[in-house]
Amino acid sequence: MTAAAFDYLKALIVEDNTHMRALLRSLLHALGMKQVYECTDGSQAYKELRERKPDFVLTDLSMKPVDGIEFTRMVRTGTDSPNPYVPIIMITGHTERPRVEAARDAGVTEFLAKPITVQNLLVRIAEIVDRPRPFVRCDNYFGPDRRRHRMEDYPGPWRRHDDFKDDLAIE
Amino acid sequence: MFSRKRKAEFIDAKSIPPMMRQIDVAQFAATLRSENAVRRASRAMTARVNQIRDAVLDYVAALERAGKLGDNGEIYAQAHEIRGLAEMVGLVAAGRIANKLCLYIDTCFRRGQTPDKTVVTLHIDAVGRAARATDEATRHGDTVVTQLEALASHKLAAE
Repeated sequence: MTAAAFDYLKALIVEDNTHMRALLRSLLHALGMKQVYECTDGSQAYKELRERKPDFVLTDLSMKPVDGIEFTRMVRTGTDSPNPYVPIIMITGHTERPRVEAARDAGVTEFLAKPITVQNLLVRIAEIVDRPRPFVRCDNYFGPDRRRHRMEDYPGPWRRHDDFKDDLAIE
Repeated sequence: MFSRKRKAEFIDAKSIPPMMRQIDVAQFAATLRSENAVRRASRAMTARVNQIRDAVLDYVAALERAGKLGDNGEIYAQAHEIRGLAEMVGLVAAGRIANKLCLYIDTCFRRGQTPDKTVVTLHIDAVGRAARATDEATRHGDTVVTQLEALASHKLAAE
């Protein structure tokens, strides 16, 4: 391959900091990706998602007016979402924990911690390409399965107090 | 007897529209994990380091200006930029102190409190010193971070 695959793979960078945006663009170009689109907040990104149809999204968390969490929520659960399954890699710094948890619960696929390193970026992209996550749909969540390790035939013991309440029913 | 009655619907990854042809996936992932890819991307990152370092110093100057004005919203905004970029260009201490400042202001805002001026000013001074004094910045910063963290916690506990 690989030129052909890189040629048609499209990435969308959502980042309000000019320098970080330029850095991410440089990194993706260095990998051979030619179709790299950029925008500075979640509302622009949502439009780009519709128009450009990127294969994956790299997004910052804190942006205005629409941040990465709200953007992710719009993508996953918006009635007019162009692609609710698109992989979203969220770039987070020393971000306050409640916000990271909110991002996870909004449906982020992978997290990339700042300071970003080349290795970490490549690993995250490789993960979404060759190990796509299953999705979960329930009353209050739609997005990638938040559990990393799931055994279909897990016999127990059930350790969580809400295992039965949420997942199982007593007959 | 327990039986599985899932309230959640699981959608297998195989039924999600793929981003590329399956034949390309393994090769693509292997390429991303190759030393060659790391080398090329590392070169691209290195080429940006000086530019980002200059940008961090600009943000530090803006942080100091906001500090003089006592504009906590702007202080948070500039500190946030610094914490996102500084560590990537080796300004570890400056990044960590800026992060502590963000966490302190964020906690105050969430509690409906006004950030203590002394705590904020000391953090801003420390960010400036750590960003400009590149020698032993980390060691210097470790001490400063510990002291400022204790001060911020003390202030928050007292209010």
